Amino acid sequence: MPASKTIRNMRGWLAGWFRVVQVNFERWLYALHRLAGVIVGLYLIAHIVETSETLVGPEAWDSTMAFLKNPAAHTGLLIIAAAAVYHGLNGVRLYLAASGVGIGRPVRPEWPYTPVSLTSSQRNLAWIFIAVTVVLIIYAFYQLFMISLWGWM
Amino acid sequence: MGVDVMRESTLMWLQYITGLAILVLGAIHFASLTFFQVSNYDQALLYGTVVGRYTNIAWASALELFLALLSYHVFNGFRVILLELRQDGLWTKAVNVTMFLAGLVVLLYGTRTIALFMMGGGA
Repeated sequence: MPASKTIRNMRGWLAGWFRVVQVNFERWLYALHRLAGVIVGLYLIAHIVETSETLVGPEAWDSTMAFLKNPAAHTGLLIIAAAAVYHGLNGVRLYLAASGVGIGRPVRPEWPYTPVSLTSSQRNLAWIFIAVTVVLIIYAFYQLFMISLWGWM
Repeated sequence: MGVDVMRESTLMWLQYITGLAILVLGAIHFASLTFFQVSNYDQALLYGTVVGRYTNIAWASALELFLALLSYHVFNGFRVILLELRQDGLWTKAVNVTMFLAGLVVLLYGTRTIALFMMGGGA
């Protein structure tokens, strides 16, 4: 192939990530991992600008915080917190799997040819990380809505 | 970044390493916003609390390290996604340069906030 030839990914952006041909749990986790990473990455840019308001002074900071204290903004923060926690924990699973941990040993291919890596302990680890993610999302909901917005404490 | 400076395998190895470090610092950040040294999220966002952390050398160092690791991890992640869409010399070079510069701008802008407080700035 000539070096100058352009290769285009015809699967597209998000549609390509989520176009899972066969039901594959890990493939969905990976698509969500990417989406969560992009969400958190974009938030980083906004967060850097937001925190620089502290340099302007307490009034500017308090005014920004007051502007952001509403259900819509806190729902956005909850989504970002969920994305960050999910991306982090699923990232650990991916790191371990890439290192060969929890993906089982090769076996003789026999019908229905299910890869051993899809039934080994990495899948249990995925469920554990999902459970931890859910717990932390509930805690973030408690902080953002029940305490901060609704003043239950 | 990527084409001439470092091998892709090295960049991805750094992606994993920064990811693991971010997990640790992110957990500290999450705790510091909710229960560690504060009673809740609202208290963590008080001006005094935020500035107190920017002017404390340990907190400021942790935040700066967190920012540096995130700047690399996020923009290298964006770079990988963009390079998956299309591969040719010009696109690859444009994506590499743009993501490197964007990461650098975010790092410098965030560092500015921390550094100015450490030098006694702020209102």
